Amino acid sequence: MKTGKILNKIIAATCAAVSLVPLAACGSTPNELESRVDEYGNKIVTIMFHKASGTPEATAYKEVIDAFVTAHNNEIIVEAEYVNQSAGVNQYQTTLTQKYKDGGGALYDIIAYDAPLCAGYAQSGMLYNSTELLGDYVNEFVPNSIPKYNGNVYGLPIQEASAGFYINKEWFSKAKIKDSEIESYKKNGWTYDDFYKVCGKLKSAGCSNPVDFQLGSSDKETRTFLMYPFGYSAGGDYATADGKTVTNHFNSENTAKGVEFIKKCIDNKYTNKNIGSTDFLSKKQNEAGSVAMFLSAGWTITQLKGSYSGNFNGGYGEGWDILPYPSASKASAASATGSWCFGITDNGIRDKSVAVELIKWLTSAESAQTIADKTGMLNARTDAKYTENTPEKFFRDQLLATGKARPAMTAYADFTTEFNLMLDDFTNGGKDVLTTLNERASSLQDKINRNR
Amino acid sequence: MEKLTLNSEQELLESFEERGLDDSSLAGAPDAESNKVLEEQVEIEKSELVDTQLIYDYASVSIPKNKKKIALDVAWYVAGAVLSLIFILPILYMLAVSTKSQLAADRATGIAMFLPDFANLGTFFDNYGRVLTEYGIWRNALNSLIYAAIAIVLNILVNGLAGYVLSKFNFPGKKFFTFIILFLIIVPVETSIIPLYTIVTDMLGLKGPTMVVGVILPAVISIFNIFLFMQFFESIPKDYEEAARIDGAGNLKIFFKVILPLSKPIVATVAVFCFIGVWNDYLWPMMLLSAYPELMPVQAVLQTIQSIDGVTTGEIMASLVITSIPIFIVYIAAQKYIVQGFGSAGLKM
Amino acid sequence: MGTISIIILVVLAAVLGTMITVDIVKAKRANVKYHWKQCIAGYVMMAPAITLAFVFVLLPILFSLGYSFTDYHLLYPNDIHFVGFDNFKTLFNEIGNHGELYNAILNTLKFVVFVVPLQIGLALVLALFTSRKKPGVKVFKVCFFAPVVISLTVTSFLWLQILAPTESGMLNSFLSVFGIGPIDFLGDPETAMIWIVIMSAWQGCGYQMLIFSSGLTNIRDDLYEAASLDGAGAWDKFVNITLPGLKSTLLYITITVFVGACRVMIQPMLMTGYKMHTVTLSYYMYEMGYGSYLVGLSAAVALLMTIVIGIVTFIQRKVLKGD
Repeated sequence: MKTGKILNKIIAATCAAVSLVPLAACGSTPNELESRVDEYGNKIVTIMFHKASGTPEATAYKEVIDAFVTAHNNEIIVEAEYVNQSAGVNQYQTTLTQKYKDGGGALYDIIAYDAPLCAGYAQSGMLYNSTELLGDYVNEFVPNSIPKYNGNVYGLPIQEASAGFYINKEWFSKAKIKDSEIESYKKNGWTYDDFYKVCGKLKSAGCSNPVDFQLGSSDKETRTFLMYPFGYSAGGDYATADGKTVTNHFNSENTAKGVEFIKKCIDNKYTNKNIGSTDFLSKKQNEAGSVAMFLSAGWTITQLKGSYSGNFNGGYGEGWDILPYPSASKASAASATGSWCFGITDNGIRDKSVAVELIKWLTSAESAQTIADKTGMLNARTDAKYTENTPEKFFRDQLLATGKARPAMTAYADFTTEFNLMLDDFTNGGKDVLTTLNERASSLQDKINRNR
Repeated sequence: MEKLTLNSEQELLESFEERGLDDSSLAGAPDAESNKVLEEQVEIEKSELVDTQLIYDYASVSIPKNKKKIALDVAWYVAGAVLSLIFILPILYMLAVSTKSQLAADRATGIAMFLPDFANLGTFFDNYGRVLTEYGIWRNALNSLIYAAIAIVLNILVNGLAGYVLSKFNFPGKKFFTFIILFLIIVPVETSIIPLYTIVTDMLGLKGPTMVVGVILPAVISIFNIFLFMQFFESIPKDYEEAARIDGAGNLKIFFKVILPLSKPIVATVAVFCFIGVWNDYLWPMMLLSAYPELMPVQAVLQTIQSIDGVTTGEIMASLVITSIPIFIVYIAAQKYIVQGFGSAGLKM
Repeated sequence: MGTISIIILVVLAAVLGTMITVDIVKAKRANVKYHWKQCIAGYVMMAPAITLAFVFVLLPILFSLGYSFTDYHLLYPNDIHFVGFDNFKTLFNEIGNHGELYNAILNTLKFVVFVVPLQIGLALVLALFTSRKKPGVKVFKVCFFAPVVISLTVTSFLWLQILAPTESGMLNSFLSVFGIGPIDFLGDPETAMIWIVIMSAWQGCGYQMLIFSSGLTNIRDDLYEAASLDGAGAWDKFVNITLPGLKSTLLYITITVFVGACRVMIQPMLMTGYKMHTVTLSYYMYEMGYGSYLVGLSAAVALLMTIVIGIVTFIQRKVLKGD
């Protein structure tokens, strides 16, 4: 019976182990390290990008990092992770949170993040307050582009983005809108009434869809990015500077006046949500369903210059052009800004010097140009050079003149949701603007209040 | 509400009980009649999968007597074929596209959409190769297998022992435990996934790669399996146990040498369903391991493959096929136990 | 949190202790003797199961209940406050504001209302269809059952490709033959939920078909024969013999399909992501807890869901039982 006894003991031990595992794992404290070095004494710095390797962006980042390593005689090792943001489960966000909680350098030293998320990440402690680390270096960037929360700097912009109304000039000439008029709108801005007038003319010239706001986009953030400036463009806003209060801001009279512009365009049948996402690009002026104006961001330039160029009567300024956001008055003009940033994280590594060196390298004049060339996005540095009479130059000027960042609030995701619900109300019709805004503001305020 | 649910289970069991059955297909179960769960299982098994021979016999005697009947039969077969196509086409589509390059997949129209790319046999398995090596899905499939294996062994050990004690031992508090088990079977557990997450991360303090423990352990405990084991063990006559005890065997030896060998059907059913459960689980491992892709099981990594830039439809489909193959194998190999399990899963609410 | 679980543990231990004492007292009165060595061995052998069940089954249920009255935040697990019914007030506010929860309820309703009859009806039709004893019936059965074998995750991703809004997507490729341009089935708020319903019914009904089939074999053949002699038609036989014979099976299937449908989450999660036109209650609950870290609110949704599902199940039972 000896074997039986031994077997008994083994089984008993297994049972005890299984029942103890949950209890033994109790208790945890965040780990901290002074710095990270490999076995040869080389410093290690880790970084996470928001694009999968192999994409043009990722190759640009890789190029810049290789140059960095070479410049430091291979004494600093950069461990870069290229993660694509997936739909469905919010994998990117939860990965950050989990690794942040683990401490001890589990989270990457530098992460890429979308500018409006700055407040949330800063507040949860994930991003490191880099005001002192970066010092005067931030002055090399367009002030609007620097990710800030409560007056502190939490990173540097990788690039900038802007948006405007792309126009098909063939439609404009058919609607008898003179080039000088277009030029004046472009230079001096235009009002809502100008916009309605243009839409009316286009409509009577036979254009069934004078303008596409991309209301049909299934991407919430695209819709927000393109249309949030209207809330500002009649002197309104969405929230207080600290992002804690939206009541009487989101639903203020001026904000209502601004976003009502979108609703009026829908109600007057100047636009609708069923316009195909590439109708402006792919349908020639004489084709059914052709679109005359298209609200979109800078990335449309590449498409207009590339595969869709044949659908227009020439290039920039000839076949197509870009007009700024209309506004209630010239003084209140606002346009979309804000793109991805690099931020140093508070990941339990106390020595931030290597991270600072890398982030400065990544955003240097040379690197920024390399990245901007590959991505087609705008350069966020003040010293960036742009050729006159290019669409990029137009966006860059608009950015400097009227760029207004998305509201900085810790619950930015909730803002996006509410803004999109507002747009849904507009497209569904039935409610007046103030009712919609009151509902959305009260809902958003609730959500802000329940976030700590 | 709990009581009512039990009532309906009871009804269901009774309804199954009414049908007579022989216990010949239940090798190793000494007293099948008294085991309601298994009765039902056997019944389904009999009605579903066995005895195609009998069906053929039946067909050969019932020779259609007139044209109307022939027409009816033809209509039946046509309808069956159409219905089958509806159910099988998407799966054929998955298999077909998984062998094609993006170009071939985009160009295929009509019937060609559902046919594999026989024209390019050289690149037939290219997508599979890329998914397995470049995207490293083999590693995740291996993870899944390992997690499932650990979970199965522990599941049978932990729940089997509990079922053994509850069915064969007489001890104070037995009624209390039995009551708790019956109560917990009824409570909807799915609504507690967020609290479960807080328990694993905050209370147990699991973090980093140790999260794997959190993935496996909840799959180990299954109140329903305890209930199944209890039911089955109760049907084993005391004589077997007593004979072993006289020989001087201890409790554990009796469990391993007497009880488990006599309970092969139920052990197999539990193992098969534990495997399907762990292999198919998506959300829970995703929640715990999203920061550690190299530890993810295969279902969770499907999401990652979808979002890789430049991934082709063929590669996505190949990853789906690879994920489904083990389950298909299990279904074919363990048909008998699956059908039994479905019968018993029918009790789960 | 640790302390709470210890309190629960102590309470449970106290209850267990009382039950044991009661049992011992009873046993003494009845002159039954326990083998104490056996009892201790029994407790030891049950220990793993009890520990795991306590941690992973019982605690989540109790916490789910308790959290709904607190402001538990995933990032601040050590700072919990009791907030009374605030969470529920917030939820009702959100319904009033036509926010996400409002959409989640509408979408879940849409899903349940369509999927329950569709899936059960389809399963019943398939079961009746395959009840004819003809050669080849097994092949049909295997075909109908095949989708059950592939997991929900795989099914969702597979249908994501089938419904792809490009011309090479399977369904759009079909439609292009009729000159219908590529349709974004899942992006369109009007149709997205319907496609999710169709996909779910496609995937699930093979399973219910099996259960119906076993219910059908349960109905005695002589009943049909007797009815045929009385000159009853096929429909009469179905209404008067088949349906009553399937009553308990139908009740069981209705309830399980209904409860499953109320919990729908993976399909919209993987096929569209968190979108207003497809968000469901379970998905909302998950996003609140895991995405927005508001565990308290998420638990409140779970509690409301459990109550509503419980009530509806109760009513179904009453109605279908017919007494």
